[in-house]
Amino acid sequence: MADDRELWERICRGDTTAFDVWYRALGPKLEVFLRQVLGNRQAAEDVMQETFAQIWQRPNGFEPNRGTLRAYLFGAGRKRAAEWWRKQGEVNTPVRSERAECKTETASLIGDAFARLPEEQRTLMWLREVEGQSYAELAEILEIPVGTVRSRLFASREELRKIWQATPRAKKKEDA
Amino acid sequence: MKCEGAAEFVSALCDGETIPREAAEHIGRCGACGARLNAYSAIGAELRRVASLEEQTEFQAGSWREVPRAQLTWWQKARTTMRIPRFAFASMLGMIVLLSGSLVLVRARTGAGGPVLMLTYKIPPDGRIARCNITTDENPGTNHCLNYGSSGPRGLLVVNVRFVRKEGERTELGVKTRYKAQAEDPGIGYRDDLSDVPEEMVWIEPGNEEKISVPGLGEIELRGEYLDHIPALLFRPEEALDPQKNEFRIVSPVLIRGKEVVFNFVGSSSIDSGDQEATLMIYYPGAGRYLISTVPFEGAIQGTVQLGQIKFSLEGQDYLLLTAMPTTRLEHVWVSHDAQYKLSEHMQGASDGQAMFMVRSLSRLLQQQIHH
Repeated sequence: MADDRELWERICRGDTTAFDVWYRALGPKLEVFLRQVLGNRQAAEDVMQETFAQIWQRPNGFEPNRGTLRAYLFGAGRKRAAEWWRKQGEVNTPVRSERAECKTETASLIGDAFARLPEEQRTLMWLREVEGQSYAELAEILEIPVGTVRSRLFASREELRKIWQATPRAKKKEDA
Repeated sequence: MKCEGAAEFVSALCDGETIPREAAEHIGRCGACGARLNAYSAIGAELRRVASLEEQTEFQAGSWREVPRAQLTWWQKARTTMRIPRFAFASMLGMIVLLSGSLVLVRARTGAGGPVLMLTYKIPPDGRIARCNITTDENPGTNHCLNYGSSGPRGLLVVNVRFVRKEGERTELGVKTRYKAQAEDPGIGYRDDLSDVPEEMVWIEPGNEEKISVPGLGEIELRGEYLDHIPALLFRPEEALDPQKNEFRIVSPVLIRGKEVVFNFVGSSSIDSGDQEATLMIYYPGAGRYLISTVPFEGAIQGTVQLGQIKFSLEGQDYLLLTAMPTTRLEHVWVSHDAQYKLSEHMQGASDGQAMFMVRSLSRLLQQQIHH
């Protein structure tokens, strides 16, 4: 994929090819992330589409010297997801992911535990562990200081560890 | 160092961060902290494994329609490069406004986002502006609007807009249009439901401009803005309380004869600016026509103006015309009444059963035939 600055300039110029390449590269990842945040497969797909559509129609707000385009995209997706939650009237209510019910048992071990985390912690953990966002990028996405990123990551990990280890099957797996 | 103090550094280690020497030494010799480090690493690995299972292997290409790109305004540039928290910046601006003692805040509140969508469309070829407002709800009486008017030398444009749904700041509308290049002005009372015209779906978002192609005419530019109320003056939302020089404006008029209400046109308005002979024509079935002019004319009697009230006496009866806003800077107007007047004989396409009022030039209203 092209350099972020160059890619952004092409998007701003209305280059459909560049935008579609970017969409196909990061769309699936954003959708999976949103599935964790929203706990709803259809909503995740909708929010993902809306996020890209919004950036395509109104490309503004990204600064190459402040973070990566990938971080900017996930930040925009997270904001859209927060709007979705506001509409649902269930902000910060842990939900069970649909995925946990339809995937394999091994996948649902961590999935069940993860789904019990508050939305903010799910977001933070996913962006760090799966998307590999740096502390600086997380601070940019979540609009919090870097020091707070570190302490919240610890709190999230600790919470997830406790939930995960409290489940009988996880205990069995860990013991083995 | 104890485990409680080292725990956060265990998390930082997982993220590839360097940690203080004391914490590193503790974690190296503490079994509990070592187990925590392993658990954190296992959790991360497990999450990445789940993510790998989750991700779709096939992802369809998007359909990205080319949209016109505008240069960033100074404000947009400033927003994107702001180095202080935007909330703080917004608060600072707010304080400046408050301290300046202006009424801007009061004005802004009345125009804040709300359930009413005011649509403004620019019509080719001359860029004439038309407006309508609809409510973004299921109310069948207010969630649609029908506009028509002549466009071009002889053409007639009809636009029907229907609310479909609202998602966040965006509203989906169903839009039907028809343009007849050679149509006559249909006059007052004209209705066209456009039932044979296909509906085009468009998403309206404040700040964005949508284009609707009208066969035979070109592209209409459509914009939307959310308001917390239906504006009293749709075409002149910026209108001040004081009338301008040579302005005659009639907003929500009520005509009272003695103790009887002759008509009540609440919610309607007609304004004429820069016209030195601006005149109000009111037609009401059974009551005939009243002309109330800012200049004297043959057969007219004088009435007095005070803010939103016009008083006059005609045919032995006292009249009071009440309006929602001051009408004119003048102190007097001139009034006539024609009880036998037939609207259908005077205005092309009009019906005698249709009540109406409008402000136009006196000379125009006195012509043999007039258009709406």
